[in-house]
Amino acid sequence: MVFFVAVGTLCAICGALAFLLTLADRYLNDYGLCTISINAGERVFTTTGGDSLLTSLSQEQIFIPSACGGRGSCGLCKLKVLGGGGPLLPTETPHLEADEIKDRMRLSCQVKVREDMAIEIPEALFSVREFRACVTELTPLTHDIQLVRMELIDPETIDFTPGAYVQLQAPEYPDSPESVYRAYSVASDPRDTRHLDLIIRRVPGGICTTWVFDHLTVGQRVTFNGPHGDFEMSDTESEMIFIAGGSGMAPFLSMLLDMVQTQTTRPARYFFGAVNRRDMFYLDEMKEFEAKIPDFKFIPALSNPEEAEGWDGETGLVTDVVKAHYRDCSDKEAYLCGSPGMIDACVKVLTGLGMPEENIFFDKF
Amino acid sequence: MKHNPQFDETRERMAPGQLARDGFLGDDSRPIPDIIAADAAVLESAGVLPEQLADILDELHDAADAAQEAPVDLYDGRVTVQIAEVMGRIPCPFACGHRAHKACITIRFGGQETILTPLHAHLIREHTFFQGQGAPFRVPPSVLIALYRTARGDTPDA
Repeated sequence: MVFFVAVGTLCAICGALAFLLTLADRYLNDYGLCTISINAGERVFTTTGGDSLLTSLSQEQIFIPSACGGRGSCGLCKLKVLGGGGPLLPTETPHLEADEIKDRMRLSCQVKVREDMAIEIPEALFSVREFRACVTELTPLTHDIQLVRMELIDPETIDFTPGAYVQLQAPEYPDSPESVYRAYSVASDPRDTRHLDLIIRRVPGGICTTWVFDHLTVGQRVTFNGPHGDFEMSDTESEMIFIAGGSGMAPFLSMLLDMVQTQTTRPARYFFGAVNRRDMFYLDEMKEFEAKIPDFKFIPALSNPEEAEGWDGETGLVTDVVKAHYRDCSDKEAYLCGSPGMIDACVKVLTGLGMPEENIFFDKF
Repeated sequence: MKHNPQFDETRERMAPGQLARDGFLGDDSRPIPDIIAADAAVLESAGVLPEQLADILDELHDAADAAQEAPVDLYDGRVTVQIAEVMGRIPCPFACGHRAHKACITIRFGGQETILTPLHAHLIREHTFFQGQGAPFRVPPSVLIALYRTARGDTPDA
Protein backbone atom coordinates (compact mmCIF):
# COMPACT_ATOMS: atom_id res chain seq x y z
CA MET A 1 0.00 0.00 0.00
CA VAL A 2 2.80 2.39 1.00
CA PHE A 3 4.54 1.53 -2.27
CA PHE A 4 1.50 2.52 -4.38
CA VAL A 5 1.04 5.76 -2.42
CA ALA A 6 4.72 6.61 -2.98
CA VAL A 7 4.56 5.83 -6.70
CA GLY A 8 1.29 7.76 -7.03
CA THR A 9 2.76 10.77 -5.21
CA LEU A 10 5.88 10.69 -7.39
CA CYS A 11 3.74 10.53 -10.55
CA ALA A 12 1.62 13.45 -9.33
CA ILE A 13 4.74 15.55 -8.57
CA CYS A 14 6.24 14.74 -11.99
CA GLY A 15 2.96 15.59 -13.71
CA ALA A 16 2.69 18.89 -11.86
CA LEU A 17 6.30 19.79 -12.69
CA ALA A 18 5.76 18.97 -16.38
CA PHE A 19 2.64 21.14 -16.35
CA LEU A 20 4.52 24.02 -14.72
CA LEU A 21 7.36 23.70 -17.23
CA THR A 22 4.86 23.85 -20.10
CA LEU A 23 3.23 26.93 -18.60
CA ALA A 24 6.62 28.57 -18.01
CA ASP A 25 7.71 27.80 -21.57
CA ARG A 26 4.48 29.25 -22.90
CA TYR A 27 4.21 32.41 -20.81
CA LEU A 28 7.56 33.19 -19.18
CA ASN A 29 10.15 32.27 -21.78
CA ASP A 30 11.02 35.15 -24.03
CA TYR A 31 12.85 34.03 -27.10
CA GLY A 32 12.76 37.55 -28.50
CA LEU A 33 12.75 38.16 -32.20
CA CYS A 34 14.11 35.35 -34.35
CA THR A 35 15.13 35.59 -37.97
CA ILE A 36 14.19 32.81 -40.37
CA SER A 37 16.11 32.59 -43.61
CA ILE A 38 14.51 30.51 -46.35
CA ASN A 39 16.42 28.96 -49.24
CA ALA A 40 19.75 30.64 -48.57
CA GLY A 41 18.28 34.08 -47.99
CA GLU A 42 15.83 34.07 -50.91
CA ARG A 43 13.29 35.18 -48.35
CA VAL A 44 14.05 36.33 -44.80
CA PHE A 45 11.57 37.31 -42.12
CA THR A 46 11.59 38.08 -38.44
CA THR A 47 9.13 36.55 -36.01
CA THR A 48 8.56 36.43 -32.27
CA GLY A 49 10.00 33.17 -30.98
CA GLY A 50 7.95 30.54 -29.20
CA ASP A 51 5.63 29.27 -31.92
CA SER A 52 6.15 26.19 -34.04
CA LEU A 53 7.99 26.65 -37.32
CA LEU A 54 4.81 25.59 -39.17
CA THR A 55 2.79 28.32 -37.42
CA SER A 56 5.48 30.96 -37.92
CA LEU A 57 5.61 30.19 -41.65
CA SER A 58 1.83 30.26 -42.06
CA GLN A 59 1.76 33.67 -40.32
CA GLU A 60 4.06 34.79 -43.14
CA GLN A 61 1.63 33.31 -45.70
CA ILE A 62 3.92 30.38 -46.44
CA PHE A 63 1.73 27.29 -46.31
CA ILE A 64 3.40 23.93 -45.72
CA PRO A 65 0.99 21.04 -46.44
CA SER A 66 -0.28 19.46 -43.22
CA ALA A 67 -3.20 17.11 -42.63
CA CYS A 68 -3.28 16.87 -38.84
CA GLY A 69 -3.27 20.53 -37.86
CA GLY A 70 0.25 20.46 -36.42
CA ARG A 71 -0.19 17.57 -34.01
CA GLY A 72 2.79 15.62 -35.25
CA SER A 73 0.63 12.78 -36.53
CA CYS A 74 0.54 13.05 -40.30
CA GLY A 75 4.22 13.65 -41.06
CA LEU A 76 3.41 15.78 -44.09
CA CYS A 77 4.98 19.08 -43.00
CA LYS A 78 8.58 17.98 -43.51
CA LEU A 79 11.16 20.54 -44.51
CA LYS A 80 14.91 20.93 -44.28
CA VAL A 81 16.29 22.76 -41.22
CA LEU A 82 19.88 23.75 -41.87
CA GLY A 83 20.44 25.92 -38.80
CA GLY A 84 18.65 26.35 -35.45
CA GLY A 85 15.67 24.28 -34.45
CA GLY A 86 17.30 22.31 -31.64
CA PRO A 87 17.73 18.54 -31.52
CA LEU A 88 15.46 16.04 -33.27
CA LEU A 89 12.49 15.23 -31.03
CA PRO A 90 11.07 11.79 -30.25
CA THR A 91 7.77 12.95 -31.77
CA GLU A 92 9.51 13.42 -35.14
CA THR A 93 11.56 10.25 -35.49
CA PRO A 94 8.68 7.88 -36.36
CA HIS A 95 7.96 10.02 -39.44
CA LEU A 96 11.51 10.34 -40.73
CA GLU A 97 13.60 7.82 -42.67
CA ALA A 98 17.30 7.50 -41.87
CA ASP A 99 18.32 9.33 -45.06
CA GLU A 100 15.85 12.14 -44.28
CA ILE A 101 17.37 12.58 -40.82
CA LYS A 102 20.82 12.65 -42.41
CA ASP A 103 19.48 15.24 -44.85
CA ARG A 104 18.30 17.39 -41.87
CA MET A 105 14.61 16.99 -42.56
CA ARG A 106 12.34 17.91 -39.66
CA LEU A 107 8.61 18.09 -38.96
CA SER A 108 7.92 21.82 -39.04
CA CYS A 109 4.99 21.43 -36.63
CA GLN A 110 7.28 20.02 -33.94
CA VAL A 111 10.22 22.39 -34.34
CA LYS A 112 9.91 25.43 -32.07
CA VAL A 113 11.32 28.76 -33.21
CA ARG A 114 13.65 29.69 -30.36
CA GLU A 115 16.62 31.12 -32.25
CA ASP A 116 17.58 32.30 -35.71
CA MET A 117 16.97 29.57 -38.23
CA ALA A 118 17.92 28.64 -41.78
CA ILE A 119 15.52 26.38 -43.66
CA GLU A 120 14.92 25.04 -47.16
CA ILE A 121 11.49 24.55 -48.74
CA PRO A 122 10.40 23.63 -52.28
CA GLU A 123 10.34 26.75 -54.46
CA ALA A 124 6.72 26.08 -55.44
CA LEU A 125 5.51 26.73 -51.88
CA PHE A 126 6.30 30.44 -52.31
CA SER A 127 3.43 30.72 -54.76
CA VAL A 128 0.93 29.05 -52.45
CA ARG A 129 -1.59 31.54 -51.09
CA GLU A 130 -4.57 31.46 -48.77
CA PHE A 131 -7.85 32.26 -50.50
CA ARG A 132 -11.29 33.19 -49.28
CA ALA A 133 -14.16 32.23 -51.55
CA CYS A 134 -17.94 31.99 -51.65
CA VAL A 135 -19.70 28.73 -52.54
CA THR A 136 -21.88 29.34 -55.59
CA GLU A 137 -22.93 25.79 -56.48
CA LEU A 138 -23.26 22.39 -54.81
CA THR A 139 -24.28 19.74 -57.32
CA PRO A 140 -24.56 16.02 -56.58
CA LEU A 141 -22.82 14.07 -59.35
CA THR A 142 -23.46 10.59 -57.97
CA HIS A 143 -24.84 9.16 -54.72
CA ASP A 144 -21.55 9.98 -52.96
CA ILE A 145 -19.77 12.55 -55.15
CA GLN A 146 -20.49 16.26 -55.21
CA LEU A 147 -19.30 19.23 -57.24
CA VAL A 148 -18.37 22.29 -55.16
CA ARG A 149 -18.06 25.51 -57.16
CA MET A 150 -16.59 28.62 -55.53
CA GLU A 151 -16.16 32.23 -56.53
CA LEU A 152 -12.96 33.76 -55.25
CA ILE A 153 -13.20 36.80 -52.98
CA ASP A 154 -9.72 37.50 -51.65
CA PRO A 155 -7.55 37.30 -53.65
CA GLU A 156 -10.02 37.56 -56.51
CA THR A 157 -8.13 35.32 -58.90
CA ILE A 158 -5.98 32.20 -58.83
CA ASP A 159 -3.39 30.92 -61.28
CA PHE A 160 -2.91 27.18 -61.41
CA THR A 161 -1.80 24.47 -63.78
CA PRO A 162 -4.33 21.75 -64.66
CA GLY A 163 -3.66 18.86 -62.25
CA ALA A 164 -3.03 21.06 -59.21
CA TYR A 165 -4.74 20.55 -55.87
CA VAL A 166 -5.78 22.87 -53.06
CA GLN A 167 -6.21 22.35 -49.32
CA LEU A 168 -9.75 23.15 -48.30
CA GLN A 169 -10.35 24.19 -44.70
CA ALA A 170 -13.25 22.57 -42.91
CA PRO A 171 -14.05 24.93 -40.05
CA GLU A 172 -15.32 23.86 -36.63
CA TYR A 173 -18.85 22.49 -36.78
CA PRO A 174 -21.07 20.43 -34.46
CA ASP A 175 -19.25 17.16 -33.61
CA SER A 176 -16.00 18.46 -35.08
CA PRO A 177 -14.38 20.80 -32.59
CA GLU A 178 -11.33 21.87 -34.60
CA SER A 179 -10.76 23.10 -38.11
CA VAL A 180 -8.77 20.88 -40.48
CA TYR A 181 -7.37 21.06 -44.01
CA ARG A 182 -7.90 18.36 -46.62
CA ALA A 183 -6.48 18.12 -50.16
CA TYR A 184 -8.70 18.09 -53.29
CA SER A 185 -7.74 18.31 -56.97
CA VAL A 186 -9.01 21.30 -58.91
CA ALA A 187 -11.59 20.41 -61.57
CA SER A 188 -12.05 23.78 -63.26
CA ASP A 189 -10.72 25.59 -66.30
CA PRO A 190 -7.40 27.29 -65.46
CA ARG A 191 -8.49 30.25 -67.62
CA ASP A 192 -11.48 30.90 -65.39
CA THR A 193 -9.28 32.41 -62.70
CA ARG A 194 -12.21 33.75 -60.66
CA HIS A 195 -13.75 30.36 -59.94
CA LEU A 196 -12.58 27.06 -58.58
CA ASP A 197 -14.37 23.70 -58.86
CA LEU A 198 -13.71 20.70 -56.63
CA ILE A 199 -15.15 17.19 -56.98
CA ILE A 200 -15.47 15.62 -53.55
CA ARG A 201 -16.41 12.09 -52.59
CA ARG A 202 -18.01 11.49 -49.22
CA VAL A 203 -15.89 9.61 -46.70
CA PRO A 204 -18.10 7.99 -44.04
CA GLY A 205 -17.10 9.68 -40.78
CA GLY A 206 -14.69 11.98 -42.63
CA ILE A 207 -14.25 15.38 -41.00
CA CYS A 208 -14.05 17.49 -44.14
CA THR A 209 -16.42 15.56 -46.40
CA THR A 210 -19.10 15.37 -43.69
CA TRP A 211 -18.87 19.14 -43.49
CA VAL A 212 -19.08 19.48 -47.29
CA PHE A 213 -22.05 17.12 -47.66
CA ASP A 214 -24.01 17.89 -44.49
CA HIS A 215 -23.18 21.45 -43.48
CA LEU A 216 -21.83 23.46 -46.40
CA THR A 217 -24.40 25.64 -48.16
CA VAL A 218 -24.51 27.86 -51.22
CA GLY A 219 -23.46 31.38 -50.26
CA GLN A 220 -21.19 30.22 -47.46
CA ARG A 221 -17.65 31.64 -47.19
CA VAL A 222 -14.82 29.13 -47.28
CA THR A 223 -11.03 29.21 -47.01
CA PHE A 224 -8.47 27.18 -48.93
CA ASN A 225 -4.80 27.38 -49.75
CA GLY A 226 -2.98 26.41 -52.90
CA PRO A 227 -2.16 25.63 -55.59
CA HIS A 228 -0.13 22.58 -54.63
CA GLY A 229 1.37 19.61 -56.46
CA ASP A 230 3.37 18.87 -59.55
CA PHE A 231 0.88 16.61 -61.34
CA GLU A 232 0.64 18.23 -64.78
CA MET A 233 0.70 17.39 -68.48
CA SER A 234 4.19 17.16 -69.94
CA ASP A 235 5.10 19.32 -72.92
CA THR A 236 5.82 16.39 -75.26
CA GLU A 237 3.60 15.25 -78.13
CA SER A 238 3.28 11.68 -76.85
CA GLU A 239 -0.17 10.14 -76.63
CA MET A 240 -1.61 10.66 -73.16
CA ILE A 241 -3.50 7.90 -71.37
CA PHE A 242 -5.65 9.28 -68.56
CA ILE A 243 -6.93 6.72 -66.06
CA ALA A 244 -9.26 7.61 -63.20
CA GLY A 245 -12.04 6.41 -60.97
CA GLY A 246 -14.52 8.21 -58.68
CA SER A 247 -13.50 11.72 -57.66
CA GLY A 248 -10.26 11.13 -59.59
CA MET A 249 -12.21 12.74 -62.44
CA ALA A 250 -11.27 16.22 -61.15
CA PRO A 251 -7.77 16.89 -62.51
CA PHE A 252 -8.65 15.43 -65.92
CA LEU A 253 -11.67 17.68 -66.22
CA SER A 254 -9.35 20.64 -65.70
CA MET A 255 -6.87 19.25 -68.25
CA LEU A 256 -9.62 18.64 -70.83
CA LEU A 257 -11.00 22.14 -70.38
CA ASP A 258 -7.48 23.41 -70.97
CA MET A 259 -7.06 21.19 -74.04
CA VAL A 260 -10.24 22.62 -75.55
CA GLN A 261 -8.82 26.12 -75.20
CA THR A 262 -5.39 25.27 -76.57
CA GLN A 263 -6.91 23.22 -79.44
CA THR A 264 -4.19 20.64 -78.95
CA THR A 265 -3.92 17.88 -81.53
CA ARG A 266 -2.03 15.71 -79.09
CA PRO A 267 -3.75 12.30 -78.85
CA ALA A 268 -5.45 11.54 -75.53
CA ARG A 269 -7.48 8.57 -74.31
CA TYR A 270 -9.38 8.76 -71.04
CA PHE A 271 -10.28 5.50 -69.26
CA PHE A 272 -12.72 6.03 -66.39
CA GLY A 273 -13.63 3.13 -64.12
CA ALA A 274 -16.68 2.72 -61.90
CA VAL A 275 -18.45 -0.21 -60.27
CA ASN A 276 -21.92 0.31 -61.74
CA ARG A 277 -24.00 2.92 -63.52
CA ARG A 278 -24.84 4.88 -60.39
CA ASP A 279 -21.12 5.58 -59.89
CA MET A 280 -20.68 6.96 -63.41
CA PHE A 281 -21.01 10.69 -64.15
CA TYR A 282 -20.22 13.38 -66.74
CA LEU A 283 -20.88 11.02 -69.69
CA ASP A 284 -22.55 13.81 -71.70
CA GLU A 285 -19.78 16.26 -70.88
CA MET A 286 -17.19 13.74 -72.08
CA LYS A 287 -19.06 13.37 -75.38
CA GLU A 288 -18.80 17.14 -75.77
CA PHE A 289 -15.07 16.97 -75.15
CA GLU A 290 -14.78 14.28 -77.83
CA ALA A 291 -16.43 16.69 -80.25
CA LYS A 292 -14.26 19.64 -79.25
CA ILE A 293 -10.82 18.05 -78.88
CA PRO A 294 -9.46 16.72 -82.19
CA ASP A 295 -7.90 13.45 -81.04
CA PHE A 296 -9.61 12.65 -77.75
CA LYS A 297 -11.64 9.59 -76.80
CA PHE A 298 -13.43 8.78 -73.55
CA ILE A 299 -13.66 5.11 -72.58
CA PRO A 300 -15.85 4.50 -69.51
CA ALA A 301 -15.85 1.03 -67.97
CA LEU A 302 -18.05 -0.61 -65.37
CA SER A 303 -16.55 -3.42 -63.31
CA ASN A 304 -19.85 -4.75 -61.98
CA PRO A 305 -22.77 -3.54 -64.13
CA GLU A 306 -26.26 -4.76 -63.33
CA GLU A 307 -28.31 -6.18 -66.20
CA ALA A 308 -31.15 -3.74 -65.63
CA GLU A 309 -28.79 -0.83 -66.20
CA GLY A 310 -28.54 -1.64 -69.91
CA TRP A 311 -24.86 -0.69 -70.02
CA ASP A 312 -23.41 -1.14 -73.51
CA GLY A 313 -19.95 0.24 -72.82
CA GLU A 314 -16.79 -1.50 -71.71
CA THR A 315 -17.01 -3.87 -68.76
CA GLY A 316 -14.36 -5.17 -66.39
CA LEU A 317 -11.66 -3.59 -64.29
CA VAL A 318 -10.42 -0.36 -65.84
CA THR A 319 -6.90 -1.81 -65.87
CA ASP A 320 -8.11 -4.78 -67.94
CA VAL A 321 -9.83 -2.41 -70.35
CA VAL A 322 -6.57 -0.47 -70.76
CA LYS A 323 -4.73 -3.73 -71.33
CA ALA A 324 -7.22 -4.72 -74.04
CA HIS A 325 -6.72 -1.40 -75.86
CA TYR A 326 -2.94 -1.42 -76.14
CA ARG A 327 -0.20 -3.80 -77.14
CA ASP A 328 2.71 -1.43 -76.66
CA CYS A 329 2.78 1.68 -74.49
CA SER A 330 6.51 2.33 -74.69
CA ASP A 331 6.04 5.65 -76.52
CA LYS A 332 3.06 6.87 -74.49
CA GLU A 333 2.52 8.71 -71.21
CA ALA A 334 0.02 7.88 -68.48
CA TYR A 335 -1.69 10.19 -66.01
CA LEU A 336 -3.43 8.51 -63.08
CA CYS A 337 -5.82 9.75 -60.41
CA GLY A 338 -7.77 7.47 -58.14
CA SER A 339 -7.49 5.09 -55.25
CA PRO A 340 -4.08 3.75 -54.24
CA GLY A 341 -5.22 0.28 -55.27
CA MET A 342 -6.17 1.48 -58.73
CA ILE A 343 -2.93 3.41 -59.14
CA ASP A 344 -0.79 0.42 -58.12
CA ALA A 345 -2.71 -1.83 -60.54
CA CYS A 346 -2.35 0.73 -63.34
CA VAL A 347 1.40 1.07 -62.85
CA LYS A 348 1.73 -2.71 -63.03
CA VAL A 349 -0.30 -2.96 -66.23
CA LEU A 350 1.35 0.00 -67.94
CA THR A 351 4.92 -1.05 -67.17
CA GLY A 352 3.91 -4.53 -68.36
CA LEU A 353 2.93 -2.89 -71.66
CA GLY A 354 6.40 -1.37 -71.94
CA MET A 355 5.72 2.10 -70.55
CA PRO A 356 8.78 3.50 -68.76
CA GLU A 357 7.98 4.35 -65.12
CA GLU A 358 9.16 7.92 -65.68
CA ASN A 359 6.28 8.33 -68.16
CA ILE A 360 3.68 7.52 -65.50
CA PHE A 361 2.46 10.53 -63.53
CA PHE A 362 0.24 10.66 -60.45
CA ASP A 363 -0.15 12.52 -57.18
CA LYS A 364 0.19 10.27 -54.14
CA PHE A 365 -2.04 11.86 -51.55
CA MET B 1 -2.12 -1.68 -16.36
CA LYS B 2 0.63 0.82 -15.52
CA HIS B 3 -0.11 4.41 -16.48
CA ASN B 4 2.12 5.75 -19.20
CA PRO B 5 2.10 9.54 -19.77
CA GLN B 6 2.44 8.89 -23.51
CA PHE B 7 -1.13 7.63 -23.45
CA ASP B 8 -2.31 11.12 -22.42
CA GLU B 9 -1.07 12.47 -25.75
CA THR B 10 -2.53 9.47 -27.55
CA ARG B 11 -5.88 10.11 -25.86
CA GLU B 12 -5.79 13.71 -27.15
CA ARG B 13 -5.12 12.48 -30.69
CA MET B 14 -7.98 9.99 -30.36
CA ALA B 15 -10.50 12.63 -29.34
CA PRO B 16 -12.99 13.77 -32.01
CA GLY B 17 -11.23 16.29 -34.18
CA GLN B 18 -8.09 16.32 -36.21
CA LEU B 19 -7.64 12.67 -37.17
CA ALA B 20 -11.19 11.35 -37.27
CA ARG B 21 -14.40 13.30 -36.94
CA ASP B 22 -15.84 11.04 -34.26
CA GLY B 23 -12.54 10.05 -32.74
CA PHE B 24 -11.44 6.58 -31.69
CA LEU B 25 -12.77 6.34 -28.16
CA GLY B 26 -16.52 6.90 -28.36
CA ASP B 27 -17.92 7.34 -24.87
CA ASP B 28 -15.33 5.05 -23.33
CA SER B 29 -13.79 6.80 -20.30
CA ARG B 30 -11.42 3.96 -19.41
CA PRO B 31 -7.69 4.60 -19.73
CA ILE B 32 -6.40 3.40 -23.11
CA PRO B 33 -4.26 0.64 -21.54
CA ASP B 34 -7.41 -0.71 -19.86
CA ILE B 35 -9.34 -0.71 -23.15
CA ILE B 36 -6.48 -2.59 -24.77
CA ALA B 37 -6.19 -5.04 -21.87
CA ALA B 38 -9.90 -5.84 -21.89
CA ASP B 39 -9.94 -6.59 -25.62
CA ALA B 40 -6.66 -8.53 -25.39
CA ALA B 41 -8.28 -10.71 -22.73
CA VAL B 42 -11.12 -11.57 -25.15
CA LEU B 43 -8.57 -12.62 -27.77
CA GLU B 44 -6.60 -14.63 -25.27
CA SER B 45 -9.61 -16.55 -24.07
CA ALA B 46 -10.48 -17.36 -27.68
CA GLY B 47 -6.93 -18.46 -28.39
CA VAL B 48 -6.54 -15.98 -31.25
CA LEU B 49 -3.60 -13.63 -31.71
CA PRO B 50 -3.96 -10.00 -32.86
CA GLU B 51 -1.62 -10.80 -35.76
CA GLN B 52 -3.96 -13.54 -36.98
CA LEU B 53 -6.88 -11.10 -37.13
CA ALA B 54 -4.71 -8.45 -38.78
CA ASP B 55 -3.51 -10.98 -41.36
CA ILE B 56 -7.11 -11.76 -42.36
CA LEU B 57 -7.95 -8.06 -42.57
CA ASP B 58 -4.88 -7.43 -44.72
CA GLU B 59 -5.86 -10.33 -47.01
CA LEU B 60 -9.38 -8.91 -47.37
CA HIS B 61 -8.00 -5.41 -48.01
CA ASP B 62 -5.60 -6.67 -50.68
CA ALA B 63 -8.34 -8.66 -52.43
CA ALA B 64 -10.75 -5.71 -52.33
CA ASP B 65 -8.04 -3.37 -53.59
CA ALA B 66 -7.32 -5.69 -56.51
CA ALA B 67 -11.03 -5.72 -57.39
CA GLN B 68 -10.98 -1.91 -57.66
CA GLU B 69 -14.16 -1.30 -55.68
CA ALA B 70 -16.20 -4.18 -57.14
CA PRO B 71 -17.42 -6.76 -54.58
CA VAL B 72 -15.32 -9.91 -54.39
CA ASP B 73 -16.03 -13.31 -52.82
CA LEU B 74 -13.33 -15.02 -50.83
CA TYR B 75 -12.78 -18.23 -48.86
CA ASP B 76 -15.15 -20.28 -51.07
CA GLY B 77 -17.77 -17.55 -50.95
CA ARG B 78 -18.00 -17.46 -47.16
CA VAL B 79 -16.80 -13.86 -47.05
CA THR B 80 -17.60 -10.99 -49.44
CA VAL B 81 -15.56 -7.81 -49.35
CA GLN B 82 -15.87 -4.49 -51.13
CA ILE B 83 -13.79 -1.36 -50.78
CA ALA B 84 -14.64 2.29 -51.36
CA GLU B 85 -11.43 4.27 -51.46
CA VAL B 86 -10.82 7.97 -51.37
CA MET B 87 -7.69 10.02 -51.67
CA GLY B 88 -5.77 10.78 -48.53
CA ARG B 89 -4.31 8.96 -45.60
CA ILE B 90 -5.08 8.84 -41.92
CA PRO B 91 -2.21 8.76 -39.44
CA CYS B 92 -2.11 6.21 -36.64
CA PRO B 93 -3.31 7.94 -33.45
CA PHE B 94 -0.46 6.27 -31.53
CA ALA B 95 1.86 8.51 -33.64
CA CYS B 96 4.05 5.58 -34.61
CA GLY B 97 4.48 7.04 -38.09
CA HIS B 98 2.08 4.66 -39.86
CA ARG B 99 -0.33 6.32 -42.29
CA ALA B 100 -3.16 4.18 -43.64
CA HIS B 101 -5.03 4.83 -46.87
CA LYS B 102 -8.52 6.16 -46.36
CA ALA B 103 -11.18 3.67 -47.36
CA CYS B 104 -14.28 1.88 -46.16
CA ILE B 105 -13.98 -1.88 -46.36
CA THR B 106 -17.38 -3.56 -46.16
CA ILE B 107 -17.16 -7.19 -45.10
CA ARG B 108 -20.14 -9.54 -45.27
CA PHE B 109 -19.95 -12.96 -43.62
CA GLY B 110 -22.27 -15.32 -41.76
CA GLY B 111 -25.28 -13.09 -42.36
CA GLN B 112 -23.67 -10.01 -40.87
CA GLU B 113 -22.00 -6.93 -42.29
CA THR B 114 -19.19 -4.98 -40.74
CA ILE B 115 -17.32 -1.92 -41.95
CA LEU B 116 -13.64 -1.37 -41.32
CA THR B 117 -10.87 0.86 -42.60
CA PRO B 118 -7.31 -0.07 -43.60
CA LEU B 119 -6.20 1.45 -40.28
CA HIS B 120 -7.91 -1.33 -38.32
CA ALA B 121 -5.39 -4.00 -39.31
CA HIS B 122 -2.52 -1.78 -38.20
CA LEU B 123 -4.17 -0.79 -34.92
CA ILE B 124 -4.87 -4.43 -34.10
CA ARG B 125 -1.51 -5.81 -35.22
CA GLU B 126 0.73 -3.16 -33.69
CA HIS B 127 -1.30 -1.83 -30.76
CA THR B 128 -3.97 -4.49 -30.01
CA PHE B 129 -6.41 -1.59 -30.20
CA PHE B 130 -9.99 -2.15 -31.38
CA GLN B 131 -11.15 1.40 -30.43
CA GLY B 132 -13.25 2.47 -27.44
CA GLN B 133 -16.84 1.47 -26.66
CA GLY B 134 -19.25 3.61 -28.66
CA ALA B 135 -16.69 4.66 -31.28
CA PRO B 136 -18.39 4.45 -34.70
CA PHE B 137 -15.57 2.39 -36.18
CA ARG B 138 -15.05 0.09 -33.20
CA VAL B 139 -15.33 -3.53 -34.26
CA PRO B 140 -15.42 -5.75 -31.17
CA PRO B 141 -12.86 -8.56 -31.01
CA SER B 142 -15.72 -11.09 -30.90
CA VAL B 143 -16.86 -10.01 -34.38
CA LEU B 144 -13.37 -10.26 -35.82
CA ILE B 145 -12.82 -13.62 -34.14
CA ALA B 146 -16.01 -14.83 -35.84
CA LEU B 147 -14.72 -13.44 -39.15
CA TYR B 148 -11.39 -15.19 -38.64
CA ARG B 149 -13.11 -18.50 -37.94
CA THR B 150 -15.49 -18.10 -40.88
CA ALA B 151 -12.56 -17.36 -43.19
CA ARG B 152 -10.78 -20.47 -41.91
CA GLY B 153 -13.95 -22.47 -42.42
CA ASP B 154 -14.12 -23.74 -38.83
CA THR B 155 -17.44 -22.31 -37.66
CA PRO B 156 -21.01 -23.43 -38.19
CA ASP B 157 -21.46 -20.27 -40.33
CA ALA B 158 -19.06 -21.79 -42.79
